Amino acid sequence: MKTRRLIALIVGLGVVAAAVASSTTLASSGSTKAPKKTYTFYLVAGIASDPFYLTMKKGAQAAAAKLGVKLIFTGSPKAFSPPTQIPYLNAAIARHPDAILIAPTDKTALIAPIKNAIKAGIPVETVDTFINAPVAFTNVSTDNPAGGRAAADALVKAIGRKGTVAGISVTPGISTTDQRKEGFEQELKKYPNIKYVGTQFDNDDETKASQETAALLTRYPDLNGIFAMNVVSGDGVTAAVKNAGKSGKVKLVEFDAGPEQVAALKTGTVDALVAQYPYGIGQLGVQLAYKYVTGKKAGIQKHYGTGSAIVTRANVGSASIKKYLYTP
Amino acid sequence: MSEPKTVEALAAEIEAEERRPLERLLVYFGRYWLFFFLGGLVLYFSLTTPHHAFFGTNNFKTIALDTSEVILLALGETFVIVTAGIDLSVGGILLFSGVTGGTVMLDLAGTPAQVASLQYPHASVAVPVGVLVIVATSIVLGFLNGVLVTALRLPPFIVTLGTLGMFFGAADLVSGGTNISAVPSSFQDKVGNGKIAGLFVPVVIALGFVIVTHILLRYTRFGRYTAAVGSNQEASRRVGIPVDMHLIKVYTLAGFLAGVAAIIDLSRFGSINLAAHNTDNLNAIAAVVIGGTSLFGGIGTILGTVVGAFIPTVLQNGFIIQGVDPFWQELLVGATIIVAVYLDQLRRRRLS
Repeated sequence: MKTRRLIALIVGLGVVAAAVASSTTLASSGSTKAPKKTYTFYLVAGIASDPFYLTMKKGAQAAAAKLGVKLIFTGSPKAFSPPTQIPYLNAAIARHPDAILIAPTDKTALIAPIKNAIKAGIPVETVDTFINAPVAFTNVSTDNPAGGRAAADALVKAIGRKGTVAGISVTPGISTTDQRKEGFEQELKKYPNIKYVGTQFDNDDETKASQETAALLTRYPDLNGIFAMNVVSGDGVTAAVKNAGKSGKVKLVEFDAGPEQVAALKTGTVDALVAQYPYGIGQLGVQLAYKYVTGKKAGIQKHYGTGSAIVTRANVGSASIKKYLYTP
Repeated sequence: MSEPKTVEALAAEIEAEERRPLERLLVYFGRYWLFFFLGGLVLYFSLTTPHHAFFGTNNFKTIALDTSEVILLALGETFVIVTAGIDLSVGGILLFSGVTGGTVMLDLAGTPAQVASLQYPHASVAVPVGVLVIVATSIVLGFLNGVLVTALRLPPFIVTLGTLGMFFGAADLVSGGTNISAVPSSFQDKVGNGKIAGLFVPVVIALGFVIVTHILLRYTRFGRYTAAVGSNQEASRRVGIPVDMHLIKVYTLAGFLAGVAAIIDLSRFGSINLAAHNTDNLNAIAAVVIGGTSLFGGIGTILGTVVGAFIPTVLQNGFIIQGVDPFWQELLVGATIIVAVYLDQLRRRRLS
């Protein structure tokens, strides 16, 4: 009985090993048959399952296809965090591509790994987020402080210029959401009749975001508006406001324009979305990297801002807004 | 070291013996210690929050809603831990079955173009089929855990750690690494946001399973086998309990309940987030252990688990309503849990 089980196990492992071996040989023979040198870029997402980055991937792929560049999209689908992202970056470095585009998940934690890439001779461009060291040859991102300010204006307008507002964000230390929060808080100071009760952090988990929102609604029964600072925070806040039966009563302004968020905008729970242009970030990111690796480094600036748009129920169907809606 | 007892010591002992009835009363209350602790928390937050905002039907309803998912995971985990096993893969089962069912739901609901514009012409078929796929998938995955634990004779920790990774990976494969989002809105309206007799549907579902599993663990042969296997597997085998078959059933039950949690997740948020279930297993195990179930098996109650699941949610909710700084919240939740379980252990030690 025991030996039979052991034999079954060995046979099973053998089959798996054979399958892995055959698939790797196939893969390597495929790549060696490439006829001539094509540029290979890696795009390392902050979190590969998020509609924002998947839309960015589409823009990057479109630009890469036009330029004849091979683009490899990678990143952890599991978490927006340095420990999950760094292995993907290191794997990309190990393949020695012609350039790496990365959305760093932390302003400081990613500095050393990115420096390693540059030391290995691979130019690095930061997209969406950035790091606190000027080592990337350029950065392409949304103007996040401006987005935060625009969100404050939209929220203040939605609640009728006076009342109590709160924020829900991911976690401190992320360049983008920190800037949105700062912009939001700065702009609120311009409105004397607004009481701001602070921001809660949800670790990019919609269950936690909805818990926090429910508690805020209890704590401040007169809460008039909430600013949710990314896709996941937005989805959690929306669910909690719906559950509380306060759709439309508590005004919501959210960053990003994921499918759930757009649906909530159309059905009336969300009042405005500050949509970034991830497709454009991906597209411009690849074009700039191509320019850089083909020797046209001179004209490249250190930073490029891609626009954002305020999406409302009134304009969500219009042609000019369509490109801002995320299409994972 | 030991010295002959002095007269004073003997007198003190006799005095202590006379106090016994009082102590017995304390022990009796102590058995429900965690209930009192939870009640104390509720009372504390009710008194200290501005305008007593914590103490309100609506707040209690949302706390129950926020806890329903972890309760379902923890119910299954209770059975597994009582068998002296552990299931680290519950979050993986939730994610994989949710992603699979969600994908089926979206595929059946309408053409991709219709779904993209939030039109779901076939929602009435797609939703029940999707739910059935979730249930079926979760049962298969739980069964797989049980078979691996019994057939390979590996520690459940290793087996379910392995399957956790497999299920997460499989979920990424099925979804193509994209969060499943915008499932038919009728599903959200009727289940995630729906109400029966004033209670949210997810809460009613969780309550139903609490009652069923409580009866199952406490009053049936299934429950007695579960405890027996956890106390002494070899002895259970010798007295004729089909240990392997029973373990398979227990892991299958845990899988099924994770599937039910997936249904709640999908219907509450209209989406399944690939990144949101990494610590589900810890939350479930924490609820079970806070609730007094021994990690060494043999002992455990469903009602303890329910209280154990509520303590972290009540703390989080209460601290936010009190206006505690977000950075302090996590620290205080952690510290309070240690205090609660330490006091519970003190009581147990004195009892034995």
